[in-house]
Amino acid sequence: MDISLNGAPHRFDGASLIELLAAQAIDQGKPGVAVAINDEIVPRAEWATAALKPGDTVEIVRPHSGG
Amino acid sequence: MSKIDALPVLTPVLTIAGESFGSALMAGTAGYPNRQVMLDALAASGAEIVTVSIRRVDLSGPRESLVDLLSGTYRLLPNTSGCATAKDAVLTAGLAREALGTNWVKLEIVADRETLYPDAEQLLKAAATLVGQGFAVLAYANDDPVTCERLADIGCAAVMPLGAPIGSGLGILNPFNIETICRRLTAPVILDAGIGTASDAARAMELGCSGVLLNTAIAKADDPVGMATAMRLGVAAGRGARLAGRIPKRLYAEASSPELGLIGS
Repeated sequence: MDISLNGAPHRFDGASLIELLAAQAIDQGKPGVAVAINDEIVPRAEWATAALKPGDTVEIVRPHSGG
Repeated sequence: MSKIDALPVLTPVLTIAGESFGSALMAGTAGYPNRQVMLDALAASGAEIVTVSIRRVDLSGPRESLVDLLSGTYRLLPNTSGCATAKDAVLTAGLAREALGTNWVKLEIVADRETLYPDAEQLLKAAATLVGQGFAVLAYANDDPVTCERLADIGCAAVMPLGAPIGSGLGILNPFNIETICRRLTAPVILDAGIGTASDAARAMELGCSGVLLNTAIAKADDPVGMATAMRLGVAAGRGARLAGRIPKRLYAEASSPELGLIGS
């Protein structure tokens, strides 16, 4: 399916968030990462069950340097 | 050890959202020449709270983690920098809470790219929403006593007026406003933005601020570690001077030596 991932178009062969995170080598056991789908935050406890559909906008964020 | 290094640290010196800290200096993590200088400067500053931004993971790049580097030693305070609307700031705060497991957030909503001045309207809206969602909101604000009072009334854990535009190093442009804000609010007032050198940080504390937040003044100094040390001392000096109760300013001289027993009188 075609989704938007961190602001760029992304073709993705899976159907769920957890597959996307694995494909992007996001360490799901490590803190310091947060995910939103279509501007809704997906809590870590729901990562395993969140589904994706074509056209979804996914943001994967983490802390960065800042003042 | 020189005498000045042996100055006692007054602890605890800063209380925000029911938590006490031994340092009134909060530091940012941006703009350092490299990671090691950042770590050394933060250590020299004595800061216990450091700010971070929330940004997209670079999916094609290395996965270095600021959290790994800092979270064991410092309390991380995520900011909503880059947000121009209350909606974006509320989403970013939520993502920060998820990523870091903290309900603290530095709320920063900027209206104007040239001055980086806060958007007061969006700021008040976002603050109300985030306080309602259980966040401890530390609100970066303009140096306007009216807006600062409104932020405190909404329930912000701290109000953070700027001294001057972010990164400008101009110091405290309106000390009268800062003093008024400190006098009127019971919430902690943290001077955030515009500090350029140690005397600016000391001045903020003398005006009544509970603490200061600075980044560029340390990160972009010729010697960031040296400046971080100077800032630590400046904040302690300013706080100590305020607690000691300064003499009033007079229009006329008052001789300090006694007037009695003068030769020739």
